[in-house]
Amino acid sequence: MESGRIKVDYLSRLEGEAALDVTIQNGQITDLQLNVFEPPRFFQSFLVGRKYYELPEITARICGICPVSYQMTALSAIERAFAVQVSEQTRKLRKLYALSQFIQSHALHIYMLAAPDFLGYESVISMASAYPEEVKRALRLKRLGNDLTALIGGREVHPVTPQIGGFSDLPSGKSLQAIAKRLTAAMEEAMDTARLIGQLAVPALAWDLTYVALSDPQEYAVNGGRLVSNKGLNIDPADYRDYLQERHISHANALHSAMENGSSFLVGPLARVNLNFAQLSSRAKEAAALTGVSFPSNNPFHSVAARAVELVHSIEEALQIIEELDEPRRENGGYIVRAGCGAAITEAPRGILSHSYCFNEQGVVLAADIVAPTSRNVHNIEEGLRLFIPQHLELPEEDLRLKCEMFIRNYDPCFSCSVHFLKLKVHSKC
Amino acid sequence: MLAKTVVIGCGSSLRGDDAVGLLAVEILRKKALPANVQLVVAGLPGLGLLDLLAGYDTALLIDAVLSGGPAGEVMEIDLAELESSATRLVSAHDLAVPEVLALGYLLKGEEMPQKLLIIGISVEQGSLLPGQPPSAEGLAGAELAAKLIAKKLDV
Repeated sequence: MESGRIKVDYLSRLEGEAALDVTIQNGQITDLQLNVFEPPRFFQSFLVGRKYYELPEITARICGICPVSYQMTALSAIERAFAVQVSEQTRKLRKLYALSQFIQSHALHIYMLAAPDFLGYESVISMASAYPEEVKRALRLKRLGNDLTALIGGREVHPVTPQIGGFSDLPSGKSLQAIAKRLTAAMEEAMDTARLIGQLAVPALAWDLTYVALSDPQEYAVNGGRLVSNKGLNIDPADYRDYLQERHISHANALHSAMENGSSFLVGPLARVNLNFAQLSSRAKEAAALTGVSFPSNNPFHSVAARAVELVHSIEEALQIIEELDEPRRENGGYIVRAGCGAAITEAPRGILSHSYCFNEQGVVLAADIVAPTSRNVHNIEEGLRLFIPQHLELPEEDLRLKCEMFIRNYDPCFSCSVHFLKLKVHSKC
Repeated sequence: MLAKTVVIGCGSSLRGDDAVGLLAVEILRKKALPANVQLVVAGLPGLGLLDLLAGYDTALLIDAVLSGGPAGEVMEIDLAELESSATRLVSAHDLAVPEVLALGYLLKGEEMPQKLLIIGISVEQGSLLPGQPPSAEGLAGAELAAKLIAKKLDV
């Protein structure tokens, strides 16, 4: 397709609503817009005036898929503002809690969103007849992740136990041991997931990509660490607003995020595996080899391989944490509400999630800033498509349209959360 | 009816008449039901619907439907009819009832209820907006659906 217009009016298998509109003239893209028309929800505005303790409950409602990340990030930011130190037990339980969400989210994305693309099916329903065992495996892995979330958080969606300084209720050692048995049994299923990914053919893409993630020399960073990139960024996550810039663009309800030099960047599983390969568990490194991808990789299509690697890692580290926790004990915590500001970043399944709040002396929110992972990636998706489409212009228009949709789905965008996102239109001009 | 039975209401309580399935279950809660019958207000369960159905012999699913019929009309829908109406999967994060049921009977048929009946309460598109209360027609539909189910349960 030398000249033409690619229009996808409603991108499917994404969370939220967006469209793509691309105009190609004599083999060159003359216009490309990822229109995020999911309406904005104004969370940042209506948090102002609320009390600090309402934040984890309210912000969890931003997303039905990763409420755990919203709770963890809000709590970390509040604790930073009030100078609350959490115990090692709380730190471990929070990591286990976050990993439970990686397990459920990655299982869902790999099998229900990505696999139909790479195997050539319209949806998981049409794929299920030919791949029943694989889809059953996905359902089991997702159930395991959900059950682990509920065990720690009290329920699967919008959990209730996390609070400032710790948890209002703790899982028993016995219940942790019972889920550890299921995690042990699921390990081979996660390895089989990496084997399946190794059989998929993914398009090539050469790109001088910038990627950003939390990083910690001691562990695979999820709830803590420094914010780093492959291009020299290395900051305290609380300073994110000084280094990661956001700007409004006319064609999308999602803000565009950029580095100081204006370049886009990628967040999410590929960024994390690229930057933190050394901290992955031993089975996760084996899983990486099974996917056939050599990390670090600059090809966003390898995000699905990174998800499989993280699925294995999450199960292995969860088992390790459960062993260390043994029988969780009630802890007496206290904190002093004080005026001031606090910011934090955690790794949600789709990438870094930033929260920043300022409070008065009664703990009432004076200002709030929340940046979802997909908001970070929207600019990078547009930049990537500008590189990807010219490399595939030999394809018929319908194939090119499908490839563009696949490219976008690799980011597992959650436009519902990013708004402040998909339809694809490609315009031809002869 | 002695078989293990589950009555499941689906829908969003935040979108006007989308809540009618949930309301019908709440009406049934006030009745003395046989011990073999469980009531579940499922909301939007997605894939979780399979867990809610697993192990039951009979399931009655109540949900709002856009049938084109008058608002509040109650209809019994066979699973076969529902499968043929399944639309393109829009978001795997938000699987709709027909897709989840199709997936369940395809992959986990042995765990799924042998009898599954869907009670549809007809609603209008305009009555599904966020923040709206249910309409008078929707509420009447919920009452009618609850009566129909009570009759099926011999209550």
